[in-house]
Amino acid sequence: MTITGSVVYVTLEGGFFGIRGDDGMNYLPDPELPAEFRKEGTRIRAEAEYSEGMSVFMWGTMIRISKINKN
Amino acid sequence: MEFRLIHVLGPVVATVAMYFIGRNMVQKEKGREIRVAPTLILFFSALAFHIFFTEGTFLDRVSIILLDFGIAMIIDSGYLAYHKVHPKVFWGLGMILVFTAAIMYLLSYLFGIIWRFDSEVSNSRNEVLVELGTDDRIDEISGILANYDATWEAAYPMVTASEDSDLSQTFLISVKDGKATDLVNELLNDKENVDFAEENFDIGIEPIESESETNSSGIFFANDPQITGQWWMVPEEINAIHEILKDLRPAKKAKVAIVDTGVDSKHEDISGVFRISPGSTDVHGHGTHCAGLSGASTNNGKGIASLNWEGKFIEVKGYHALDTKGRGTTETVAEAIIRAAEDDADVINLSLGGMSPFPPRSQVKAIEYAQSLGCIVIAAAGNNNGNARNHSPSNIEGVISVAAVNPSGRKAEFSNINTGLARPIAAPGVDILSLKTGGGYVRMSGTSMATPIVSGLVGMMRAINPDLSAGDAYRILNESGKPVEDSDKVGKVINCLAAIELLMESGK
Repeated sequence: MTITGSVVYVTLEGGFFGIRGDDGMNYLPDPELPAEFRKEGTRIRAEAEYSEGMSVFMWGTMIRISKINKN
Repeated sequence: MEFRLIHVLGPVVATVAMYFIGRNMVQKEKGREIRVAPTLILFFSALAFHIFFTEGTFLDRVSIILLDFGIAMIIDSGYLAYHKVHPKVFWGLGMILVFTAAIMYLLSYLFGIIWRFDSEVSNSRNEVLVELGTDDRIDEISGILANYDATWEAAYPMVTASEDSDLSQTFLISVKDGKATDLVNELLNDKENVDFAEENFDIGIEPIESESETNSSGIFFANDPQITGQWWMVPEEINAIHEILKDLRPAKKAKVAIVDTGVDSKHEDISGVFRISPGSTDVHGHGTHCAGLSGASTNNGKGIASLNWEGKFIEVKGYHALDTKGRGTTETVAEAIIRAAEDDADVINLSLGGMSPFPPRSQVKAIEYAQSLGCIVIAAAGNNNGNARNHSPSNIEGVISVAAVNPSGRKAEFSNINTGLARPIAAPGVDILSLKTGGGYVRMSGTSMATPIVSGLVGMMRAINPDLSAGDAYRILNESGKPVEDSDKVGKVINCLAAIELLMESGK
């Protein structure tokens, strides 16, 4: 699937970067976003698939990103 | 306020300086020669003494100077009155200074943070964190580091490349004052070797420094100095609990298993109650925070308090279910649950999960196995402001699902609700103070924080009554819990004192 959205920094659980999709959904990258995208407000476009992972963050849908670009 | 020599020397120095000014006034009135230069030197020395040796915000310092010189003028007005030389000038000015100091101190109290000197708010540690590419070596940037006379060390020496390729390639660079920003900029330009570089600021999760070695508030029975920062510990309630527990001999020490990112077993506030287990280190810090909430040593004169009075009731064990970035798979979580169950855990704390309306089979099986061995499994409801029915492992049968409430007793805005689950409960989960991996204390928010508070309470109950079943434990939590406005969504909020009293009354 293709996700477009903005990178957000969520302060819960010690803090982490997630993606707030333009579709209104929250996405938690698994593994975490590459360093160059870890900046709040960065617009991204990603190819991803659902991940069945678990995390301490328990926020959004976990996704495994195969390709990501700044949008 | 801590006593410092400046508190005595300050007024003394100011009084001496003002005395010499007053003495000049007397000499002048009597037509004698006055000594301006020594008096001015003394006055400005007194002023400089205050500027350099007082501490606090800008307004703090100004108000202390005004206060000391105001008091000095009032004292020295007595000398002027004796010589009948305009004592009202010193008296009046002194009163104005003291009054102004009081106003400024009040302003400083209200706005102290924004008035701090820049040097005090600078949180740069003169350190830079740099992440190299997977195949790059630190000596490939040695030329840049030499320009800054920098030294370096591995930031996470305990992490191997196979465990985490990013962390194992991260280095902590130390530089001289003020050079960190320039170094970061130069490193970021080296795109061939450097993936990422940033200053190592003390931001995000600030360590909370102890106000004193022991809690001297007089409000709390326990002497843990950070207890005053644990808002969820209501003095009357927690004092009553600690009064009960100090004379109580538990039937056993309950084992609370923190299935998470591991536990920093060397932390000063958990080392005394930590028992040998696979997850005795914690790079991430989440598991350590949870461990402190379940069983931090209490009344030990250090850090925070929990229900674990003098470490008599709970042993904490750590299990690595998640990696150093706080992530894992259903399998790694299931394996850690099984391992904890086979280590005779009484309570398994799962401050983790993922969106999953239909729980993964491996996890269902692992939890069923743990329950068959008598473990009480407690899981976080999740942080997506959704429904914990769609979140696993909180939606697995027999699991106590914990939502988070804020200091007002309302559902935390991020917390999932527990509607439709068989064992819903809620606990404080906003701005919760607990242990920081590597030492110190830090606040975090999340249903992860609410969960180990419940696990600690249930562990305590198991220590008092080892035969307590998961069903009995939940019944006591629910019957003794406080109904709140959102209880129809999240469940009742735990009431630790009422739960322990109900347990002791009922014998279960």
